[in-house]
Amino acid sequence: MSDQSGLTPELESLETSLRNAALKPVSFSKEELMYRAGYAAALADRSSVAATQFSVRASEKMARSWFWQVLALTSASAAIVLASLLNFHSIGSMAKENLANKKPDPNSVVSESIQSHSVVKANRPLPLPSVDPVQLLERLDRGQQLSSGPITQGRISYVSLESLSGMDRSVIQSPTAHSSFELRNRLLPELGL
Amino acid sequence: MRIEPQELAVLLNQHSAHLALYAAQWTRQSEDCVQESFVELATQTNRPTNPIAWLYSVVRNRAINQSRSDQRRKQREQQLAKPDWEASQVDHELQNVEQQSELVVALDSLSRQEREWVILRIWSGLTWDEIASITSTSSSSAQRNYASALKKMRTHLESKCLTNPD
Repeated sequence: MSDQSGLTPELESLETSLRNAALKPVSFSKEELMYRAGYAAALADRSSVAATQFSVRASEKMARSWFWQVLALTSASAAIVLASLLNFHSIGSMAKENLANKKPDPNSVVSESIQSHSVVKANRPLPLPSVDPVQLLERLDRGQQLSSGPITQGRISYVSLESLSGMDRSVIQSPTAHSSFELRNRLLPELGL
Repeated sequence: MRIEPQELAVLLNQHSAHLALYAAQWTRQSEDCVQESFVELATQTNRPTNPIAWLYSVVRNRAINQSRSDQRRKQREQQLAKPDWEASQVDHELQNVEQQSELVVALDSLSRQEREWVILRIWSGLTWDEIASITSTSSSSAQRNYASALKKMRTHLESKCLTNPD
């Protein structure tokens, strides 16, 4: 032993006697224990080797996955750059073409857009045929009774309309009959215009 | 690097009986603890710096765990009032040491802690620092308690010789 305990001679002799005393031998088989130890060590070696192989495989797999991730990221970045370049190039060429071409007339553009638009065309008021007011009054006065100021007010009384068109008063007073287009279609043939 | 089989065999031949006696402080299944500790030493990927100290430490932990397991089993079986349960007192692990010498049997007169210090000091070959590390005490305290235990043993042996002249 490397260090001393500082015992008295009596205690040292007792210590020596104890050290030389025979102990009861163990009852288990040392050969069997050595076999078990070797078997356990082999199992531990195999598990450590398997763990090493697994870690190597995992690192390779991770490297492969990293490769594909980097490749995908690079491809996506290149696609974005190329798309932006193409967009800028097309915008620049269109601007050059607009500068090179003649500046269009705004009125022609507006008229073309109105004519090409079906809704605008449908709602645009149709041109009425030119009617001479004097001729219209003469036709109406012929046996007909007009209310006061039909022309100045811009409309014909219901009585005149009833007599001219032969329509019922309720039809004439209905909202659909107030349409200028319908009244015109009904009145003008009656007036011979 | 694992421990070599030759070194393991030498340790087994030199220290198995001492380790079994050491584990007997806590459990009756001391030899099982010793075997499992040797198997565990063989499976260690890196060889311990001091295999003897490592063995004593592992045997101690295993024996303490085994003692706790025995106590839990004893409590369960007492609760079930099992009549044929073999009473085993942890403090009398040395009762089956008929084949030991009288000096070793005299260890039974010591407390468990005193026995531990005596066994570690006399049969393990460890230094005081290593013993203090295993028993979680200081080196000086271990030395004082070891000397006290030896005095107690000597007194016990002297009284036994006086009472038993054979």
